[in-house]
Amino acid sequence: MALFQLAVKNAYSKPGRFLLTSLAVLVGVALTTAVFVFTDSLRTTLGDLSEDIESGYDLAIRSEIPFGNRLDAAPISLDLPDELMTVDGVVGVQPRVIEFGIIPNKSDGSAAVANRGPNIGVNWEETALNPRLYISEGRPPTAITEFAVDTDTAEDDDFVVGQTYALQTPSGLREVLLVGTFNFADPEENAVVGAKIVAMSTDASVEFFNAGIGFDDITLSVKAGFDQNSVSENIKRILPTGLEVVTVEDLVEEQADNFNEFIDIFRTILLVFAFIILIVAAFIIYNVFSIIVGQRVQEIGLLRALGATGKQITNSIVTEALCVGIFATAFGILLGFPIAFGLQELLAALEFGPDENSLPVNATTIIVGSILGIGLTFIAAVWPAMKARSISPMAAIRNTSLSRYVVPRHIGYGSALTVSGIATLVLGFVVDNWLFMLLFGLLTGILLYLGLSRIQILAGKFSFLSVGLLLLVLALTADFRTSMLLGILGAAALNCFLGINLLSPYFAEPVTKLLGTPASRLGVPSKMARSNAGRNPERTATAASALMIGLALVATVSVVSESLKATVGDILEEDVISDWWVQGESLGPEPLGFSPTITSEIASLPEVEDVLAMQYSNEGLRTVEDNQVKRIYSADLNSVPNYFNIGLKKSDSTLLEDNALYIHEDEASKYGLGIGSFISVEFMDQSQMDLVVAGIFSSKSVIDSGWLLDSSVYSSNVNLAPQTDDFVGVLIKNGVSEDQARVALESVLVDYEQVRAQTKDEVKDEAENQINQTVTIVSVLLFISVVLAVLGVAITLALSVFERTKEIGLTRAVGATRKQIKRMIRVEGILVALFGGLLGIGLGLVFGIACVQIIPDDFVSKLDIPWLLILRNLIIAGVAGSLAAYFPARRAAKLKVLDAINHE
Amino acid sequence: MSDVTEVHSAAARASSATKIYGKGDTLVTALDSVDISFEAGKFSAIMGPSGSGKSTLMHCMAGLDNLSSGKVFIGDTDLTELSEKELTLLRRSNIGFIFQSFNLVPTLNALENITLPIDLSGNKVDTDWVGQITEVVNLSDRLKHKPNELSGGQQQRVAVSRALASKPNIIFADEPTGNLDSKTGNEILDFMRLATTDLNQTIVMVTHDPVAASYSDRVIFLEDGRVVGEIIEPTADSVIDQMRTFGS
Repeated sequence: MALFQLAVKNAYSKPGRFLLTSLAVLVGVALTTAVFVFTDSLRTTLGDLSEDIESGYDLAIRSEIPFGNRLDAAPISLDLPDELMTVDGVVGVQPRVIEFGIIPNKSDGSAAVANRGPNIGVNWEETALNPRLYISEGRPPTAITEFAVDTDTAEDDDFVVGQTYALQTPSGLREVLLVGTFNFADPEENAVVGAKIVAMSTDASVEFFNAGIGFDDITLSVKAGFDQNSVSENIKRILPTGLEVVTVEDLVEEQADNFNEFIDIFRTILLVFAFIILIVAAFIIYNVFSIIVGQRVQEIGLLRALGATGKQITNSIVTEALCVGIFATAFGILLGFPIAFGLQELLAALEFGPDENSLPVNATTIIVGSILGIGLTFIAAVWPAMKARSISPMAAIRNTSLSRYVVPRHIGYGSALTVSGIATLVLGFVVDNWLFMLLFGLLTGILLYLGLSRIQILAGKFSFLSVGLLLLVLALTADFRTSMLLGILGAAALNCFLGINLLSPYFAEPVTKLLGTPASRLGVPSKMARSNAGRNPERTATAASALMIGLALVATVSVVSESLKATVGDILEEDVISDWWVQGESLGPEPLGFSPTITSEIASLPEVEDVLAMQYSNEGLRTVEDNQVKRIYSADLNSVPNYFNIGLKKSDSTLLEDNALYIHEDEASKYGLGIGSFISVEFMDQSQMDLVVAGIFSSKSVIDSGWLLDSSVYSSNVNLAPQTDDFVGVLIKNGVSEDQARVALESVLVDYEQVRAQTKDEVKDEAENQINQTVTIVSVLLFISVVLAVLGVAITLALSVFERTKEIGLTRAVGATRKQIKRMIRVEGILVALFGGLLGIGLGLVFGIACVQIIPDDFVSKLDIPWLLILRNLIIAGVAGSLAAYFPARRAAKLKVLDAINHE
Repeated sequence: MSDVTEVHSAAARASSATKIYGKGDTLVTALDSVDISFEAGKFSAIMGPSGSGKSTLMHCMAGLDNLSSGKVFIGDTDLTELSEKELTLLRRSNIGFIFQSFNLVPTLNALENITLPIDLSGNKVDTDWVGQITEVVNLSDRLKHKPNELSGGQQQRVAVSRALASKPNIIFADEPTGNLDSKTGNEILDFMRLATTDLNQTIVMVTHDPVAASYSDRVIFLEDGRVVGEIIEPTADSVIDQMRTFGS
């Protein structure tokens, strides 16, 4: 095909332009590939690990839990192993204990806290046929005062066999003798993946880790010649209720599922950023191809005159775009692997995650990368290609500019599309899933656009923005659950992006004119730049749109994070009364609990008036009425008002007995509760209890779930063994200074390095720091899209310069200096970038504010707009525009006057 | 002029061809009910001052532009009855073009430019025929060159070869020598002359150069969108004489 060859030749005729256009797609595809490779590798490593961890036995007995975290489940009776051994076919019965937060202190007294994983305490598996702990040095711990550590911990933290160390356990600090080191799960290689593991004898583990109550699970093997299923059935016969038998295969799968759930969340977040970059890439491709078509009007007209059909023209432009897409995708996928490797190295350097890695090549990786890269390029080029089709053969003769492609009017077809668009939107609500809502909402915009444009051109132009605004209003007013609201908001944002992009050509001229007014005082070049920016509003608008997306997202993130900070500050300022709080170092989102012995040591300090120990459980109980799992907090209800303000509206102190509950008014009205009424709840051990409502409160700022139980309920039912405290509020006696208090508290905490005492202000600072860190990471990822968008502005300017070669030559001929030409291009770049920046920041503000409104008040209740930050971003956009203009300006300035004038 | 309808072997003809641009005050009648016919196998020239409608007449007859009213025929096909797509296909197979500003595709070499219309139609290129044409126009050793590596005269010879390559029923040439010096211009005209006499090609040329017109078999004069004269077997002098009568 002649035009196929022509398209390929056109694509490669300007290598510089070709590479720049490809770059954005390339980066997007590379990132997508890297995310897949990286998470696949993580999956493989962690999958292998689950097999290593759960091995060496056939069956396991454990608590049956209807909901909640298995680590919080009730321990298994100490007598059960003996009973199991009487079952036919059972051999190697091994009770197991596992407890998080068991930390050995080093010889210098500091805690050997694991940064890349958890600190875990386990029992030595004395009776298992194939124990998972392989002694490396010394011997296994046998006496209650002995322990062993894994070889990596011994090496990293200088633990020496034969010395005595302090071990932090839920029952307090223990002096123990290190008798050996071991490799975990693999005799040759210690497979701990960043965790630090200590082991004690089974008796000692039960005593120290589980408060002497019982085991966490029991594993056993099936004797040769016995059938696993029948042995399992035999065991079930003697098993007390509340316990279950599972196979090792089930456990491995369960572990892998847990890992995968985490990996999937991680993957989704990273893919969102890759997708944003690809959207920006699509805008750049769209703009470049629109300009290319514009520049080739005469050539395309010639092809038409010589007998090329419209379809042939469209195909040739699409083919040319696909050359870009295929090239970018191929190299993007190739580049993805080193990026994934870099990510792994980076995480390893940050001492996080596994340090053994691979670079798996999966078909999914390549398929998804190709579909995204090539697909988006195709979609972005279709519109310019359709425009090219409408170029008349007369364009070959007359030097006409590109006529607009007008969608042919077709009422019937248009109405059908419009109706299906509305139907899609309804379907989005029916499916009731945020991701479907997002996609269907976008599809609605597209269908309505295609439909309405066929009925009435102007209606089509406004379709996206109308759908976007409608969804925005809906998200702000309607009563759905939060994830669904965010899905609607996302769909609204996407529609608004497209809507503004479609409409911005109309206001690109006046806005750039206005923005350029101050600059135009600077002289003729700036004045010319101002009118150049407004001369091809469609081009200015598209170049600005790519920039708009990145900046809008940055603005949204900054509004939400600033509001989050303000909310945290408000809570601590207004609702927290006690000045000091003690809590464990947080590994991930939840701080690690610590031994109540610490709390009692603090309480006995002479400087301390009183303490309030608080515990919480993310999935602590569920209501019997509607099976809703609730996050619960627990504390001594009597003292709560001295430590923080929950806005207690009604209460009855006579009800403050063992099974008392303070409940938030929303929850109270949901379950129809008043003071003194009872609500039936079920705990993880399947025991049921009627809680009595002793108080109703109005503020969710501290107790975000609205469920605050008396500590007596909690200790007897939820966290049976061992009980740890999660937060401790400390009231200091009058007359004790902050410094004195700090010295006193730290005298207790010196042995527990991972537990810290902080003042209210310090808690606030730490929370703000955490938010800032997250914002920084997100901004860096968004920044990639902004950089690519700036690159898009540069390509647009370069193409404009090329197009205006003759004009620039004439300007030079009548006396403009090179410097003036440079300034002209630079000011134009700044104006385009500022236009994009303004649009982006405007949209970002709207959607940031909407986000704050939609996110429940438990998380964000106070709106705070970081104006300075936003102004800074706008200035950065302007500077970026000036940088984008650097090379195009240089090129324009370098043009030789005569050549430029004779340029066709 | 009155006997146009009697010419039966017309390669192209127009009847009551009218083209109006704009409306109201800016209304311009570019063609005012023109009746004209171009004989097959002849080299015809259309002349007239700027704005006389000569280019418009050619564009409309070639199916590049639409008439406001009237009809144009290529052979027996009425162009005004054809859809956009049918027009395109007709241009592809039956009409050749030579433009003033060469109009070659810059990314294709000379040979690819010459065979472009045939390639577009998906037909097989008659290499003997193309070889014969390029031999005659003396381009054989230039076929692998890109347009920007060729002189103006060479580029126009590529354009002429392109028009001939698909053996069209008729070739329209729009000021083919306008951008060339007189020596190379004359070479092109000689060649077009040759194409009609030796290869039996029909050529219609728009020009304002009396010398160029003198190469043709018949010159038709246009003024204000009307046919105002005709010379059979013109010479440069007779054309200049006729032109002197315009605008008086």
